[in-house]
Amino acid sequence: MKPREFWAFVSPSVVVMTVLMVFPLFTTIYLSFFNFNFGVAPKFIGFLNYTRILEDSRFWSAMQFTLFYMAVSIPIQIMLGFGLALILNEITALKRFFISLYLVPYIVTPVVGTLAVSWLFKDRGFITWLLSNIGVNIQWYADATAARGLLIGYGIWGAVPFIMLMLYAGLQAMPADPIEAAIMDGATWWQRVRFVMIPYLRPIFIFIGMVNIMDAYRLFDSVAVMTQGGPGNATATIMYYTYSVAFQEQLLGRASASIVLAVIVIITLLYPFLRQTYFDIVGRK
Amino acid sequence: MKKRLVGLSLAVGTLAITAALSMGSAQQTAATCNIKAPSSPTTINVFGFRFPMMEYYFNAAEACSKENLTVKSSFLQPAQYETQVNTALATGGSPYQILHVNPRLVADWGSKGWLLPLNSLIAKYKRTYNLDDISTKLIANTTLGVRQFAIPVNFNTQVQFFRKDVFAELDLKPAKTLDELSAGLETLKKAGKTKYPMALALVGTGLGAEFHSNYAALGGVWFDKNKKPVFNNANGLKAAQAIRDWLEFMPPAVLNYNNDDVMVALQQGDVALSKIWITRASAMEDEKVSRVVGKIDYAPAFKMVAGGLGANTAEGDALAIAASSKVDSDLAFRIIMEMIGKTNQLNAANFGMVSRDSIATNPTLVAKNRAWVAAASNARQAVPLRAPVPYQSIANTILSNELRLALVNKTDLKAALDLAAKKIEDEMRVQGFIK
Repeated sequence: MKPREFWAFVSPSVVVMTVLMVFPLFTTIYLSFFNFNFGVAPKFIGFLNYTRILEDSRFWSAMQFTLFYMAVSIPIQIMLGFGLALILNEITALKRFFISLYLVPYIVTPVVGTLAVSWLFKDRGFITWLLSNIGVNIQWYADATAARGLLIGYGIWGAVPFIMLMLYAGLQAMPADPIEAAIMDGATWWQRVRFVMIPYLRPIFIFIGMVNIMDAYRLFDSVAVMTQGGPGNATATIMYYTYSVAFQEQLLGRASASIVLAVIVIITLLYPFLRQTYFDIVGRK
Repeated sequence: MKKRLVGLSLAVGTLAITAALSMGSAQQTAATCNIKAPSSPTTINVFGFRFPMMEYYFNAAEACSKENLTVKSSFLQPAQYETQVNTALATGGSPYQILHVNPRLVADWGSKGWLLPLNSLIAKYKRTYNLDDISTKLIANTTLGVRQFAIPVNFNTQVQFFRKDVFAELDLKPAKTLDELSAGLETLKKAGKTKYPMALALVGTGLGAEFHSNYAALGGVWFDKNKKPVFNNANGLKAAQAIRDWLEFMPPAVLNYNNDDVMVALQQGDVALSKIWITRASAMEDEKVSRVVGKIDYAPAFKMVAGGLGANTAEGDALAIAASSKVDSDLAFRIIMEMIGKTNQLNAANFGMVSRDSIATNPTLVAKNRAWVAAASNARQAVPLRAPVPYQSIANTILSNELRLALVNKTDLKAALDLAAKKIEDEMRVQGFIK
């Protein structure tokens, strides 16, 4: 392909990406050096916003919970999603029914789903009532561990269908030869999974890992609807913290600094995955 | 077990339907709007936060839709509403024309020039709509300097809602002072007649508001004459300590409770006592959603010290016009006037105490609405509102955050107040309010 043709094809997406992503990113970086809030003219203050954010214990608490959420929920999401994909791959009866059933969390509008689930766990919620009948009294929104567990559980419930679907599609596309060869060699079911399927699905696992890290990192809606970051700051995520600074405290410049720091962290987290994907595509030199 | 589950599911479904029906009732009683439609197609968006009386007013606004005129109303929860309106007003092209405000929002948005001063429109329509009937105290809460930014629609104050059956059984009287309240809470807890003795709305900046009521009732002010935060004093500590002491008697998740949660806790008989806005009183008597119909009585807010002020504010909600709205402000103003017309306010009085003196002090209505008597006492003993200064919202947010952390983590309250004062001062310096 000639360079002229190449640029003709890619220029629309370059323009869109520049307008929708690069420009806002650089504007955010620019604003992070200003004292800027609603209705007040921006004033240059150097790195003061960064200093304030880094001195704020709420930022570190939010970062801590965000990383904890990722560390706990993503492995469980992937294991459950893979388990369900394997089951779907094995069964023949009612396959469509189960696929539809598993997809319910994925098709429910996030805020609507979160609201409904949050009501179930409120003081007069159905689940709270059910549990109290068997002597389990949990204060879902007053106890930090319970509130964190609730958010993680809800996150798992919401993310598993996507993972299951991706891995199930991968399993369906898998050629029969390696599996049949493994069976001929006397491999058990687990050995087939461990030594044939998982290596075959590796690129999909890497993709899912990346997507889920990004999704978990920008966790916001369930926190905003269910716990508002509480009790205390126990469930505030980095995105919720940034939102609070921007819209509740009305400090847009400082929130810009927070988001710049958040971008640096997510790039660091994704670096191994991006590096691996790059080598998978172009090969190691 | 299965039968109980089915029964509960049915009950939940029935409650949801009846709640929806009860919301609809406000619409059915809305008066006809007598406004003349404009010559060209015009849409007016009315935006606010939900409670029964405001639903009624917003339905009255929608009744103005005719021919070329479309009036649309929408609600959000208070915190989300503020966020959305802040963003909309800051952009300089508000999609909302008529906005629901309270004194704090008038101070914040009015000082930034985001709300339209209504003085000339008030002068123009004063006689037509009998605006002299609106309480002058409420008007003062919507005025900055000489500019009036909003039209009051109700009088609102936090009175004690208490279960008269439970109180009678335990020979309790509604508390007049903090000490009486403490003793009463102990009695209620020991008796265990309700799941928890009390609930308050402490979510978000509600905690700061509760602190203000306590602190101002002790004579405290937030800032000195040099704008330095001074609430981290002995009275501030006493105000904060009172909230910490009450937590023992309230639902564990109470720091996450909004006004709706408190209202439901009262309606469902989970608590015997609360200090909540009188606009929630009508919901106690709604037999479709309340288990305590006829069982709730009202008393003025308690005082922090005998002979002092009550731990309550006296304020109200109001309607303002966005300064950046491109729609004819005269038309928007006349819609507000129709919303608070006498007929509409008479209907709105079913949901609380309205802003027209002739209705709010009407002896027949006062006799019918038990909460109004307590509200009138509250008005006489109310603490001053937080100062209408642009940095008050900074103080309120930071104090609420620090106080919440100290209450949740059970850390030292004085240290939390000191830290909040320091953070507020630092922030005010960064924002250019002090040098």
